[in-house]
Amino acid sequence: MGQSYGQLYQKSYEMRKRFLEIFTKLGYGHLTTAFSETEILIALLSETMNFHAGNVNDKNRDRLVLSKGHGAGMLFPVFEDLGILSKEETEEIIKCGGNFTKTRELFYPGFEFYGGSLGIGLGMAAGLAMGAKLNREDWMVFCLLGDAECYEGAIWEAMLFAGHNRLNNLVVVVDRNYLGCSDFTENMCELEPFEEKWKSCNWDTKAVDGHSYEELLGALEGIRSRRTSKPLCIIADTVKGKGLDYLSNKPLMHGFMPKGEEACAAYENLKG
Amino acid sequence: MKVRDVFFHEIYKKTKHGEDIVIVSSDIGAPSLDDYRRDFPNRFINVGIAEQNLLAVSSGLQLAGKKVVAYALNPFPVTRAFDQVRNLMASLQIPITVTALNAGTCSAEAGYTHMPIENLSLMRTLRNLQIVNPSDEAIARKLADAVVEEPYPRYVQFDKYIEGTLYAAEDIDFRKGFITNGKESTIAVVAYGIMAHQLMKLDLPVKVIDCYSLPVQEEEFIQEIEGCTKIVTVEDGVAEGGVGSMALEILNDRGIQIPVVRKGLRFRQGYPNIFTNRELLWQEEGLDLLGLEQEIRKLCEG
Repeated sequence: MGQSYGQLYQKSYEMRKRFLEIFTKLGYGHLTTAFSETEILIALLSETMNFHAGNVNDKNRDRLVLSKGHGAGMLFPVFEDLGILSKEETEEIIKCGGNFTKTRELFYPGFEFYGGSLGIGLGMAAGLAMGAKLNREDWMVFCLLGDAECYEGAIWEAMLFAGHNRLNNLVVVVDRNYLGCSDFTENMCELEPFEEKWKSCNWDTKAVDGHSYEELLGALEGIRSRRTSKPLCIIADTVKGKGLDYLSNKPLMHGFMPKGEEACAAYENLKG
Repeated sequence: MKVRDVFFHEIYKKTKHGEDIVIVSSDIGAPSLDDYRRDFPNRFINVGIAEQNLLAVSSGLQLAGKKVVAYALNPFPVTRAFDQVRNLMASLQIPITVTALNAGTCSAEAGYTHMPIENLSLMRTLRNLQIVNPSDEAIARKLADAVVEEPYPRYVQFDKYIEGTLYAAEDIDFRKGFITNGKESTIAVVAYGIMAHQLMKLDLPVKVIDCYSLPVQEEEFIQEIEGCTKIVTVEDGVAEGGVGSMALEILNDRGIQIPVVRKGLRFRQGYPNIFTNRELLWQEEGLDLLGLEQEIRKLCEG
């Protein structure tokens, strides 16, 4: 582990604060889903994956498939922190007319800032993982899914495929915040028993607190030397809107972005 | 040999020679794939009847460095997986080749569900991908070359009743997209797939333009038709959005006025609710070969 837990929690605060800077200025974005996944992205990109400013074009780097495309906004603070993007580059990209070509090179298909076409990423991640195996290469594939994204049938197609093909170089983290856009998942159409569903498709599973670095990094420890043929699904319990109490865990806040005085209040309310 | 089998035999040969090809199937095989499956079991990946996953897994494999041929039963890789097609192939430009068995009404016996008659119209709405309709073996062979030498997002419709060679390999150019045969004439017949294949074989006093790869190169297409006094478009698919629409759009955008007669499926009486086949459907829709021939000859007479 590169950084202490204290440093990582401080980083979470800084990433959320930087997200607010970038996206309140733009006046558009998906704050609550980005705040839900903050610790997961930092745990993956900063602490686990073989992915850094020096190897973004290296074919042996680990791959991240950000399937919940509306969560892509949090990549910008994290990429800045990793030295992959400068603040100036972010600001050049995140504006009307901004060119996101640079981000296209980094992840698929998470650049869909207009909303993300949900359900596609897991199949792509499975294809990447199978490609690595066919190539006899040892890079790994990490895929971040939203829990409400798992209503998409394509997720289940890919889940069956990855389990059947023993893609043990594939790790999925589900951002389990129990919220879709309009309602809680268990009100819309129950996902539970969620972990058992993955198990039944031949996946290993772990359940963690998705805002706890101790638990997230514990689940990801030894990820390259797992003695199993199964892919791994980490179900990370989270709170949608974590860090801003007045937006947390509320339906219909999926596409909400504070503006004007509300944005100022958001800075003040942001919890470290 | 059928165009699908020509293609897969060529893919087999290329894989045997060391090309890093994989075939991803959504639970569909072919006699021409049996050797491939026997000799390269790790390179034949079956996702089951899951066309959305077919597109996604194929894209992931391509991003891992493979040359990917996806293989599905038409119309499903387009109709079921259109969101994957538009995001992965058109927008992200992931250069996979999606091949599909059946074109137009060639499996009409299986019912409307299995008629990919809107697929060309749907795919024409997307930028940055080619829609390939092999109307002869030379096109199928050249397509296998393109998988290796010019990877590009491609969607291919194999009509199971097309076999034989009409063209020379050097005349096939997927970027140009069409080939003209027939006679010097001021009447042009524009078609693709089975209709082009059939019309090419008739000794009609017209020029026949086979649009085997869409979109066609528009300037060259205009040069081919601008001197015409009449254009007839013929397609084994819905008339809306097909090559008839394409011809009208290209002409209209340039302010060129040439009458266009569009022959295609209209279903004016509704979709078929009887057991049917291609011949019966064509008769009902005015697309049977004899009727078409008579109609085109009549146009030529004045």
